[in-house]
Amino acid sequence: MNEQQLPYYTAPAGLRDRVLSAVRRAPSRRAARWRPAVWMTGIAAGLVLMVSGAWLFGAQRRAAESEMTAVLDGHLRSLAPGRLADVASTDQHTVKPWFAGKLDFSPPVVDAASEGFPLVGARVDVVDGRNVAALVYSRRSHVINVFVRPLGPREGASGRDEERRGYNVVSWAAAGMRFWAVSDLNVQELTQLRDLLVARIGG
Amino acid sequence: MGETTTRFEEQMLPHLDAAYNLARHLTRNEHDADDVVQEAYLRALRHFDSFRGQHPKAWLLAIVRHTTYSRRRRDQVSTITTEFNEELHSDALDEAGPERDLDRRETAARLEAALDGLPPQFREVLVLRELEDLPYEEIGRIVRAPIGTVMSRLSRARARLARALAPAGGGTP
Repeated sequence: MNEQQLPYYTAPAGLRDRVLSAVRRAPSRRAARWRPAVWMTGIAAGLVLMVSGAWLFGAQRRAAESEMTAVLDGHLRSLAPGRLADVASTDQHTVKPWFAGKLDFSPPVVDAASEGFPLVGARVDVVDGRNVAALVYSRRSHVINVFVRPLGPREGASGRDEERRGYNVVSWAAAGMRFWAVSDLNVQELTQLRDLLVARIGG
Repeated sequence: MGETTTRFEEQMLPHLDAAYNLARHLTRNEHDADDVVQEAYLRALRHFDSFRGQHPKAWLLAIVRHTTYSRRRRDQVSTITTEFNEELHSDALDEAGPERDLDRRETAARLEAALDGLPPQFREVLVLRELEDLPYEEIGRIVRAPIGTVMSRLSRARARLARALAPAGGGTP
């Protein structure tokens, strides 16, 4: 056959534009396939964050709550006869070295006798299953236990004041430590002690 | 969007005529060919990530062919219409004198009829070989047949067309 006679149909005018606009309007396969996947991943990640955030927040609250209870228990235990102090000394330079070998950290020990909060002594106590330093101060006839342990790696530094069963608990963080001052002393004076200790120990 | 689409346009749009020509020969209808080409281009875009830089025209034509056949299966429309082809005849008119013109007209119409009478398997190899000048290997890949089959289909298609175009009343020329 004569091949020149086989008709060659060229694309009609306008087909190029129709194809172009169709192509440009169409999402590419990858995009079409990925976009929902990206959404889903984003939503899933968001949910995980929310849930884990809520869980972490809840876990931190529960931990703080259980420690609050534990320090109050520790305070009450210390009021039993002969339980207040394992080292009875008003000298911070005696008390601080006394902790060496008994704890895996060295708590800041400050005497505040000149401000009316004399140091009475110290002991090692257990709060929530962890050995902590308990510094004992007195104010008039009131006993004040100040519990100290190092801050956890992701623990917030926020403070908290609370009254429980007639006792006041003031909690704060300073110098990489968590402190709880527990006493039947009024909250104003307990807060005053906190401010004193913070000022002496430093941020 | 963006980069992929640009690359797609650069590689595939130059073969628009080839795509249309094949679609037109296979569908034997302008409107269907138009639709097939648009659909084939969209299909090609969706599968563009599987295009590894082979013969771009052959790749696109394979999709055009596939689109045509799947549309046909879908629609179950097999219009065996032999339309009068305006283009072809205008071309002929332009360059020929009246006598030649009549002759050509007749030949073209006969060719058209002969082409239409061919099964699509023959038509597609004719188009790909005679009009697109693709190597046998690529044709085989497009129509999913071994090279030997492609060649035998081609020669049978040529023979049938030649028979159809032989002077009326005569047998083989």
